Amino acid sequence: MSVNKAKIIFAVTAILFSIGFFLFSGTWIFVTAKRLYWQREQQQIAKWEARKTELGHIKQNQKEWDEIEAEFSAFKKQRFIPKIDFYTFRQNLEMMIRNNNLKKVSLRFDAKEKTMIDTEKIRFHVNIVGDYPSIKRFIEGLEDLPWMVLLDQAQLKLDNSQVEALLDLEVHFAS
Amino acid sequence: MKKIRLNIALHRRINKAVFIPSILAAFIFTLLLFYFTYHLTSRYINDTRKMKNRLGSVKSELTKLEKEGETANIKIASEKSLWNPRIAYCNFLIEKKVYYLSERLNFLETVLPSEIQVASLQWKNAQNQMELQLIAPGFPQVLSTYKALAPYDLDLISDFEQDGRFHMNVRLKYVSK
Repeated sequence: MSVNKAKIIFAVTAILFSIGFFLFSGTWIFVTAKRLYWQREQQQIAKWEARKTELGHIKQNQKEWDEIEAEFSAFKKQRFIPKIDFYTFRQNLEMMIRNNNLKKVSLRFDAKEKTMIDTEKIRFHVNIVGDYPSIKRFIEGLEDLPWMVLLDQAQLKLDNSQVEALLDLEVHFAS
Repeated sequence: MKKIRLNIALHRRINKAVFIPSILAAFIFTLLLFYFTYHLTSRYINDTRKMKNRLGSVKSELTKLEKEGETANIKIASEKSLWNPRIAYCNFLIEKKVYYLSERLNFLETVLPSEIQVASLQWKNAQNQMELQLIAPGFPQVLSTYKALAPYDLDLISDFEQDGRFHMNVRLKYVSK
């Protein structure tokens, strides 16, 4: 091999190598710098993703609020005595008094009041006399009723062996 | 006698055994550098495209969701203003409903000494308070009653002796467990 030929081969290889080296290092520096810049964009994406989850919660929340009307009417249906049953309820109350061997002194009720949830509230004033266990059983019976029959005030007085109870009930009717 | 040889070449002789492999190695290394550059570039282009697509899709999705969220928030606010007072009222009723007088009577049966007689009891659902008129046969029982009721916010209104019996008017609170 002649020296000139060898020099040419060496020079071509050296030029190619230099081009390759500078190209590679330039690309590497550029790509690395770009990747570092991407971190910012990735953080932005993460922020957006978090916001998306937040918005998903809002939508879920809205769904729950949309269902509230149905839930509320179900609650009313379950816990409020239908308006048409007013007299039935009164009869039941009197029957409860009789069944517990209590003596009814008086059973009064006030005029109905409209409530903010479109129901009606009627206050009953029950005055009964009997022995303590029967009075307690009657009270427990009232408390166990599934409807909104609320014992608002109570006054128990012992007279000899008999207890006189004055009970103020708040009875809610669906209108 | 050894024969003397003269090298009269103008240039140094190239050792092929060293030169060719070195050049080959340098050439292969150069090729590898080109290959890595290509690989790096193509990967970068690919990743950039992916990143741009992702950014675009997330952004458009977010814009859509933001609009929906805004509408949902307005709707929720109006529903809240309509339903919150109603819910509060229902909760108030439920609270009143689960406030049992029978539980308070059971409590009095357990906590009061057996010699004590309850002459009267007044109870108001909203106040969580009971007003009692108690009768004790002697002073030691009065003390034991006060001791028994002391942990329940006992408020002594009055006590007096009449016909050899001690009358106590007290107010107390009972918090259900």
